[in-house]
Amino acid sequence: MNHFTLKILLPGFIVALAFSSCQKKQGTVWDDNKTASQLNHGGSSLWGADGEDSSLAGPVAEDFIPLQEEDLKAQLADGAIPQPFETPGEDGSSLPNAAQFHAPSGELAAIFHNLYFNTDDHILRGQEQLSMISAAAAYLKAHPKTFVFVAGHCDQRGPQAYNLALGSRRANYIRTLLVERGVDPNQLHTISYGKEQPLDPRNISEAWSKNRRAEFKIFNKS
Amino acid sequence: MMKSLFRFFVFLVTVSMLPSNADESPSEIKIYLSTTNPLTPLYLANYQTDSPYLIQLRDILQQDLNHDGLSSVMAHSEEKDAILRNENKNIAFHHLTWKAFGAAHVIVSKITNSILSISLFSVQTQSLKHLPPYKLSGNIAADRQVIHQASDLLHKLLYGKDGVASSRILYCVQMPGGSKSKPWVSEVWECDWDGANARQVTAEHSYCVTPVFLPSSTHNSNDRFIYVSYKMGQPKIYVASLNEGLGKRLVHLRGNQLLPAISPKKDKIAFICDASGRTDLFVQHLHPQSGKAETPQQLFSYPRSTQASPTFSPDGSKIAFVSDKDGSARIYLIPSEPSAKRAIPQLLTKKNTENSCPAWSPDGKKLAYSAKTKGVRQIWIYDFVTGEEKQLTDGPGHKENPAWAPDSFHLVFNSTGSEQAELYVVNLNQPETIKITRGPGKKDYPAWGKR
Repeated sequence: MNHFTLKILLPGFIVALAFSSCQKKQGTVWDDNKTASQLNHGGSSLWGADGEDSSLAGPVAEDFIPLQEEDLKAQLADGAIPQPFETPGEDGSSLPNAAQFHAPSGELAAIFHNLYFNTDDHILRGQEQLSMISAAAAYLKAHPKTFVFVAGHCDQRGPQAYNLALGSRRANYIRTLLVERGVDPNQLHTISYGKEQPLDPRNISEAWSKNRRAEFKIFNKS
Repeated sequence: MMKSLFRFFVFLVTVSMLPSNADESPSEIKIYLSTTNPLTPLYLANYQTDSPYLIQLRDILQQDLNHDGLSSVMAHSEEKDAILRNENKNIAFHHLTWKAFGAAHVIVSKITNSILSISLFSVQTQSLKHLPPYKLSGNIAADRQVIHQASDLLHKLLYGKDGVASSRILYCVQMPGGSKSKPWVSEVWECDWDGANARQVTAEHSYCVTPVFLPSSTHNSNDRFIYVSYKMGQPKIYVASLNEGLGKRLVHLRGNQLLPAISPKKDKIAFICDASGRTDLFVQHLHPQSGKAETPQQLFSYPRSTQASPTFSPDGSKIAFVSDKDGSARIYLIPSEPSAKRAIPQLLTKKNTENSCPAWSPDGKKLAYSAKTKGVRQIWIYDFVTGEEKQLTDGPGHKENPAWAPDSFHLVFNSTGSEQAELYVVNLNQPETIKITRGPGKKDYPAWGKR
């Protein structure tokens, strides 16, 4: 997209965005619920308009107003691939609720096994874990109708509320690694459970290590 | 020397209060007294009754008064009760008599034909006031509320301030879900300030966390709340009424939305969201009356960092939140009005590491938060007036998620453990904590609101 095209299309896009935004504001939230069908899941990007790595960005921002900071544009280096517009389980979504994504079994269990983090860390350590990411990426690229929830978990020792956020950061980091290896971002959703769902409730180091994890749940769209 | 004597005195007070009530102050939680305002001695007369029900009501009134942070109910004595039974008011309420007993005020309550009447005698002013009569129903849940209302009126008459006895607390209870697909469920519950009248509010059979009251625009009761539910799979923010408990989606964004906070004017909601792929602080303008939402805005994002737990200043102009952008998680301040460029956050808490879950007091003067202190998460108070950070709780057992009462003087927080989590109430002037929850399930994420 050249500069001229941007100059012509961008104002139009902003006007369209304003209208779609107004559409979402019908009704009152305190009294009435909004439905997903009121949401406009379009495909243009405010970040993309700046011409920054839009091919890597996956789904783009239009349902929120992003900060315009240079240091936020290095997406892959920072685990910042915007989430898919589609919320599984929402009215109009082609994907079911996360509860209907299943734990990998059979051959998938060998590919999508749990990944583990160090304390208060969101980076994967060790070649073995990165190899698993590559294998998972290869599978997902070969199976574009397979969708994945990456669930981020923390151990019991951290603060409850903060861990809800940390779980999100871990899940997004794994998602970014997969996108970096060529997986369509729309195949990948994240969910954070913080420390609410430990695998091992014991209060020992071995249990904590098991609980600082990313888990995969799979759904095959026929 | 004086400091040592004072510490010893505090220790004695703490220890002497421990056995008085099985539900009070488990030995593992102690409180650092940050203020030493003396408590006002009150004498609360005994009814002449053998009715367990009436005795229970009297005990509720005594507990309300004893934990209002300013009063201390004196021990009962038949001698004092006999004086108060004298039909000659000049004898029953003679100021010199009560001055000699060391009482600053005397409270006499009577129940006749289901009507509760309460009189308040102030020794210094020698004045006798009669509260309006209260109709009792015989239903303990309803009559508890009546006693709490009377207690708050007494508090107002005694100290000129609103009490919190009539207020209520929201929290979550985590229980086994009973199935492999739902190993755990968590629902929102409500209880009185003292833990009584606990009832389940939501019935989503899902995972609900971090409820906060929706501010009331009329200074009346808080009857709606916002919370996070996993009922759609990903955590999303909902609003519900306490009567119905049916969550309606409030924020429509992709990804995970967590840890919501709402401004006291109800015109902004702040939350944590990973729509961008980062764990960012977002803010969204709302119409205060209708709740109609504007487009959400990314308020603070920082490479390779996690943002968490926003809380608004009372005027809504600032947000305190947690970020690990500089290493360990600490609490920062930022203007709540978004702009294209992110504001430079001001570091607030410097004493400890692993700071979490800040809660701004309604009077704007204090920030309660949890911080790792000698290996244990304790509740700390940041004083905006002095800029000092003071430790409130002590002892083993992690304490998290402090929430202020409407009076900015009482706090509720939850202990955390791998198998047990309970709620505790404390005020800034008494060394006693009260464990207010019991029974099965882990109780956490409390919020305190008006009734």
